[in-house]
Amino acid sequence: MSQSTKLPLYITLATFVLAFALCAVQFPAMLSTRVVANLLTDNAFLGITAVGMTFVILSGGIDLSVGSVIAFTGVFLAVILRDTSIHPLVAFALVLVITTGFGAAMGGIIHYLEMPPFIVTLAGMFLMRGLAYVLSTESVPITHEFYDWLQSLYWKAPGGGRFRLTGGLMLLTYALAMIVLHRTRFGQNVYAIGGSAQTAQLMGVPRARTTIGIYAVSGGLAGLAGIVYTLYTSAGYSLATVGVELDAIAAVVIGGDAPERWQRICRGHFLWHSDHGADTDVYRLRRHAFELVDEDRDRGPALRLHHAAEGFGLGNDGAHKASDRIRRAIMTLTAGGGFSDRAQSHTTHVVDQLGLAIVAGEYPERAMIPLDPDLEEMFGVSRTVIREAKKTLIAKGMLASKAKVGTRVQPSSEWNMFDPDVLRWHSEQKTPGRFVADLNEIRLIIEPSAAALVAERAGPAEHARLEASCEALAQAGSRTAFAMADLEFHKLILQLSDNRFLQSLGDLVQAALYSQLIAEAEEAREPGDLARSVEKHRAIVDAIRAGVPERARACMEKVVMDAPAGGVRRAG
Amino acid sequence: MMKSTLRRVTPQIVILALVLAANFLVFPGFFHVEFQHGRLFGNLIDVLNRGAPTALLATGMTLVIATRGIDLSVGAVMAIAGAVAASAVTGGAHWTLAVLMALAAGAACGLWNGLLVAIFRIQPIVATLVLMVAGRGIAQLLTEGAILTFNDPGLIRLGAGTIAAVPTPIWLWIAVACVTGLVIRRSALGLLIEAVGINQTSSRLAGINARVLLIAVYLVSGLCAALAGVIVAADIKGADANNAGLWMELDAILAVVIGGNSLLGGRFSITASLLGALIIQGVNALILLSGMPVEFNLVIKALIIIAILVIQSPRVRHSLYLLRASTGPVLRERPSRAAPRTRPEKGQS
Repeated sequence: MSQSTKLPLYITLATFVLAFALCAVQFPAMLSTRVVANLLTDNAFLGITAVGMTFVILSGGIDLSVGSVIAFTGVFLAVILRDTSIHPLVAFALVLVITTGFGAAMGGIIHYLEMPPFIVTLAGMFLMRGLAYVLSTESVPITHEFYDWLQSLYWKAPGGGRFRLTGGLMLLTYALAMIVLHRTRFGQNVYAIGGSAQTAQLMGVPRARTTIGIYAVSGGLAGLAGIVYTLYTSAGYSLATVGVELDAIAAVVIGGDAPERWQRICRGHFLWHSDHGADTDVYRLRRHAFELVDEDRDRGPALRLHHAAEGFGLGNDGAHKASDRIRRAIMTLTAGGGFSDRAQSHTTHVVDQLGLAIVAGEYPERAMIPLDPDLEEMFGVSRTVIREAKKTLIAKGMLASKAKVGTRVQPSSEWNMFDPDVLRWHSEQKTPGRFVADLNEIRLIIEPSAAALVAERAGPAEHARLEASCEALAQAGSRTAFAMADLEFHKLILQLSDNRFLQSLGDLVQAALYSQLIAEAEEAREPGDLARSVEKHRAIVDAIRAGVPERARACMEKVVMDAPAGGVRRAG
Repeated sequence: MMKSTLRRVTPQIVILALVLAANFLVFPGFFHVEFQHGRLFGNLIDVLNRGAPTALLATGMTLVIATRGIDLSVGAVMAIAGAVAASAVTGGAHWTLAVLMALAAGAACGLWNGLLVAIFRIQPIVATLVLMVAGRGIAQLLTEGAILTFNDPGLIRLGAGTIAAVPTPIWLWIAVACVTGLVIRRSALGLLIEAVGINQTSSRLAGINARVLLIAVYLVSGLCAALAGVIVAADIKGADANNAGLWMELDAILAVVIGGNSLLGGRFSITASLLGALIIQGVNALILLSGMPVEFNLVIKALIIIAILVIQSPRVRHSLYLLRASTGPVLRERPSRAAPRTRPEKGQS
């Protein structure tokens, strides 16, 4: 997994190094600190914008308004500093509040009105550009001592490079964004929504808050970029930075996808061929810095994928698929909350939603579910899809249909509890109720006997596999990794029992561990617990290797008895 | 068939009527059309005429969006097509040949997009972004950085001339829309495109050649963009590589969305998209005629767009439905228990 997700990163990295090296070989001046410092200064605003765009794109959205927000910020600052005697710092605070609020408003519209980000931010782009026009259609110079002072701040590196305040600000923004995305719940929520908004919601991610937060971050950072831009140009102009949103998007996307890499290689060539050694050609430098910026931008996502994949851990499709999804989401600049993943078939979606609602008790036992036309309207799908979904649920024993009466919810005793979907719906409930208790009872009946069977039947090869699985358990670094390994271990036991009925029961274990994981996410276990749990698993393996069925049975009982604690404690 | 189409586009017709009525309010002479110098004049004609590029782009864009794609390159393709046509006529070619060359260039651009999307399986927004960024560079290469002007009367007639007293662009976009609509809806093509948009995998499993269809829709989009580019160039008697069709892709997408088509692909209506294009043009006319300071144009446009989109948003529509349902006969036969809920997925938020 790590190989495949990091490959694009390595290729882009290599391309960049190669391009830079070729330039440097041709024109040694490329290596001077002046070039590097100028790159930073010239592109600080673009870098900051791209950081904001990263949040949006990771969440599967798009923000077309950033270029206009930068222009608006510039004009606003210029006009307010010209017409009033407000101190620039106050003006900065004011404009940041405005742009952040503007971003939050767009996020709110996107979430609450279920409108595609592409269109909402497009309207936002018109609005901000228009407001900039309203303030002034001409370029307004900014002359203020404070500005002069800010612009005079730089650190002169050996070799003549001047590292200015704005460049530092960009690096700082970048570092902060890394921390937020890496280390905070908000950052994880951004990834979760990008992976699949629906899954995220089911796992308890506050979708409204996160969506609004994401666009607020993008708007606020665009405002900051606007401030930086005025420091760079000393003016505010409503026609400035047209199309920067596309630059920013390109900066985020490049490196994620094959043709973009290819384009980048072309760009490298272009640099190489057209470089005449002078380091004043703004265009070329911008192109170049672009690549620098990109590089920074790329590194984050690819590394963090790993993380996010772990975070998704025991989702119904495991880490592999989750990481693929996130990867795809990053590469796709999804609009409408979903060119990407909501491709999941309509029927599956309806089945899932209805199933979840029934399990959650929103439709109690023996209640009628809405009539077909209403379901059609609720889900926005055709009659065929509704019929198909109902058929599926009937097959799972959750619904019963009677001619001329309608479709009723079956009592829960009729539900096919062994069905993977039904299990999953139960395990996704926030308040599991007796489900966890029931689940652990059946595990207590099955798993110890399975362990005993393994102890009787396993040979040296099987012993080795168990050892390896136990070792993986011990090596697991995080809660999610541990749960994954735990699942593998229990599945292995069922598999090695060499009984085809037992072998097909892996889903039970998965559901149990999944709901346990959700329960424990909120009340973290102490690290010692994990170590003790590993010891208990090791005892099973030892018993199996010794070929003592009764001891294996007892040890497995202990492990399974261990499990309900999480669920029961929560329910009580 | 006719009836269902009418029902589908009712919201767009209502909005268009509102916009036109607003136009009439701020400028009572809005609907006045007169015949002068062998040509019809009037604000209404202007809306139809100026809306031609957007309408053409929207026709192609509707098909692309119906396949769950998006074509960001249309603005750049317009510039390329204009440059090709202009450099051909200034090079001495006959204007029909120049137009054909421009269309061929548009087709080539569309083919490139289609190949990237269908064969190399690149996300449409990324694939077409490539040409959007590179396209203006290509156009500049053709015009050698200058605005290439021409005087060929044949070519100019496409943008500024009339046929039977009606400006040529109007004929062109209506003709293109009719031909596309007829081909798409009188054959199974439309259905196949919708199938691809709804679920590409299952449509392929059902025996639809999704690749060819995808390439075809991007090709059509390229052709439409090329024709729009020729019209724009003919209108100003010159090819401006930098500004021709600038940001037109956004207007085109907006037209499709105002037309009520989902950006997630699937069912589409070209008629509705065309109405969307006219609505945009009507809004532009409204802003001009209202005599507001030009600085406010974008702000007003943004606010009107937001209003239109809010009216069309699924959430608002659903609430309206519930409102209607709670007073209408729909609910009466239903046991109280299964009262209508909002979508279950919202239940937990």
